[in-house]
Parts: sequence; C-alpha cells; structure tokens
Amino acid sequence: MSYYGNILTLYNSTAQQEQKVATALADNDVNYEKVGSTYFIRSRSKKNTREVLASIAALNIEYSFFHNAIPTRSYFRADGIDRDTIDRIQAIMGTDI
Amino acid sequence: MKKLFTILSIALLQATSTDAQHNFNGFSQYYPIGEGPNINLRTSYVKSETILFEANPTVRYSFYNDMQKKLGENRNHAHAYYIAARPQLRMYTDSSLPVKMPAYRVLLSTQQLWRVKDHNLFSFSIESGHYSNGQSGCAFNELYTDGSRECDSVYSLITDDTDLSAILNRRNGNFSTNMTELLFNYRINRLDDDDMPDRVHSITFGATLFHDRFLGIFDFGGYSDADIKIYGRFRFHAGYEYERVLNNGMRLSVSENMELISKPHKSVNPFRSVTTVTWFPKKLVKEFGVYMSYVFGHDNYNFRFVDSGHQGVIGITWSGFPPFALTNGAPPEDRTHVPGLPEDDEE
Repeated sequence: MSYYGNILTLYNSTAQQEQKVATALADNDVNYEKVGSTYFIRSRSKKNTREVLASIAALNIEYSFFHNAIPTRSYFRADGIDRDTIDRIQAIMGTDI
Repeated sequence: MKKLFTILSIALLQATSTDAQHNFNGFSQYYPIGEGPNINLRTSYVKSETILFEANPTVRYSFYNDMQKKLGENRNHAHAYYIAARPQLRMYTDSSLPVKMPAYRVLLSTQQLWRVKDHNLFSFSIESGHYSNGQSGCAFNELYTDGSRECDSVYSLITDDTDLSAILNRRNGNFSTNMTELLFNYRINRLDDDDMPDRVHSITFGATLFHDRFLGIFDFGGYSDADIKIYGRFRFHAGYEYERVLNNGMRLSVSENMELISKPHKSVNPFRSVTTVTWFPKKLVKEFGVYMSYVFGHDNYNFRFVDSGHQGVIGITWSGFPPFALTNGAPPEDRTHVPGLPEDDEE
C-alpha cells in the first residue's frame, strides 16, 4: 500500500476550528501528529489525500496544505521538539528511512 | 566459446538497454510508442533453418525526455528526443551456431505526448534513419557479391512467379534501405486511487516508408531499384493492447499487432499478425515481463520477410511505458500552472 506525507498548518485558528480539523482527519481515517498549529498527516493514497484536502477546505478556515508526492526522497529537520515526537513525524512523513 | 561470447554480448546490450531507461534526475525515461527490448525463443518459419533464440536489444539514447516528470506535474504536454538503436539478432542451430544476417536500425527520433480528456493520452512518434543487415552478398545467390554484374543478372531472372523464399541467400544476402516511421497512439486510462493507470486500452496505427536517401537528404544507405520492387515501399501498422493491473499488483497485457506490406513481390505474404500475452510480475522491476506470442504471416527479420508461415514465441521483455502516476495528486481545480515554475511551451 502506498502512503503520502502531508503538512497542514492552521493560521489564527480557534480551539473550535482545531476540533473540527481533528474530526475531519478522523473521518478520513488518517494517522497524524499535531505540533502547535501544524498537523503532519499520513494519507493512504492520492485519492485519500484529495478527500482530506476537500474536508479541510470545507471548514472555511485559514490554512496551508503541502502534499509530498515522493516522500521517500524528502528530508525532515526540526529543532526544539522532543525526540519521540520527531520520530513519530518522520514515520508519518516517510522520512524515517 | 563463440556461443558464450554472443550470449554475453547480448546480455551486456540488454543491461545497457535497461540502464539507458533511467537518467540522473530520478525519473525513468518512458516512451509511449515502440517495442521494448526483449529476448525470446521461437519456432522457425522454414524447415532448413532452426532458430535458437532471437534478441531485440533496443536502446533509446535520449537527448531529452520529460514524459514521467511532466505528467507527474499535471502538465498536458511531454516530449522526448532520442536516437533509437533497434538491432535484431537471431542465432541459428547451424554448425558453430551463427548469428546470421543481424539487422540494425539506427533512427533519429522524437515522441510527443498530450494529455487529453480524463487522463487519456495521445502521442505520436517519428523515427527516421537507416535499416540494414550489413551483409555484402547477393540477396539471391551466395556465390556473388551484392551489386556485381552476376548478381544483377540473378535479379533479372526474377519474375512474379519466382518463390523468393526458396532462393534467398540466407548466409550473407544484403538488405539495405533508409526508412521513416510515423506512428500514432491513443491510450484510454482508468486510474486507481493513486492516479496510476490500472486498466489501459491502447490503440496504435501508422506506417513505415522505405526511401532511398538517408533522412530524405543524404545519398547513402539506400536500396537498389530491383530491391525496392521486392520490399514494397510502405508498411502499414495497426495494433491494440489491453493492460490490466490485477488485485495482487501483477499486470497482464493482451495485444494484437498487424502489419501490411504495400505492393511487395508477388511471392511475399503482405500480412503479418502478432498476438501476445504478457505477464508482469510485481516482485521484479515493473518494466519486466514474460510473454508468449503467436505469429502468423510474413517474417520480420530483414530480408526474411519473404518467408511466411506460423511462429510460436516465448520470451522476456522490458516495457517502454509501464504504469506510473499521471498526476501529483492535486484535485482537478488545482491542476493549473504552478507559480514559480517555468511555463510549458504550449501553455
């Protein structure tokens, strides 16, 4: 099965909006890690990615969404985040190999 | 020893061929039109010869190829420019196992591809260059050299009733022409959840023109007046292929390809049909497949097109256009030009 790493960032978001995002991600059955206002999301296919994006877009919030079509050729770097969180993000984004 | 050397040489060519399918930017170099390299065992057309195996170590030396890259970026036009080397070698079971009369095509080529409705793809290829078997003998007499007065006199004795298959010089008969091939292809793709084609209908048609001048300009490598009357000037092609990805990820392809020679010598069967079933196992590289074919009609091994009959074939091949993602995953409304990237020529 294929998978894709995606990065969703919310801007000026409220707790209520973040709850709606969490519900949208759960409805689309994706694994994700939330750090601040950023969600690292592992989608199962390009179709699944489009469904996630459509759900987010329907919430009428400020956001940016990055879909990485070739995750195994990507690189991830973070500072100031604990090691376990980084490991979980790398697993989601496919950059842990 | 000679047999071992030949097999090693072909294996090296094959390895070069598959390696040449990749370039340094990480994208494979795919071509929607054209047969991929293959090695096969096949039965013989004539009783006097038994084929040990045939190799078609096709290599495309690219100058430029953005087929996978452009389609993966949701672009609507992709193209490739390359030199196609299409050798065809047969080893026979005669004494010392000779590779007799191998054929060489070296062609300056381009392929242009457009995405049309619903991710269907339209493409065409033009390939032009030289096609010969590099032999020096008279085509219909082993005793004489090609172009000699004696050879000309042999040609002068050929009539419409002559059985050319019976008198063909099968050891070193010369076959030489320049050629241009124009092929059109239309692919109807059904995409899976990852935008990879999982069911493909592919239709191809076109023609090959034999002409005297190289690239239509330079006066070398052409045919003689007597030969072109035997070859026929045009060869028309039509083909259909259905390819399906199975549930376990393996692929199965069924294809039918036909060729019709326009106005060859009366003893030549103008028709050729090749029916092929190819299985692409998932565990190996996705280009690799195992195939079986049934061939009916004229032979396609340079001057042996004068032979006609049935052939059974079993072999291995490398597909020139395996399924790959035809988008970058963006929803249709976002499949527009990306700011910051260079514009396509046509966009």
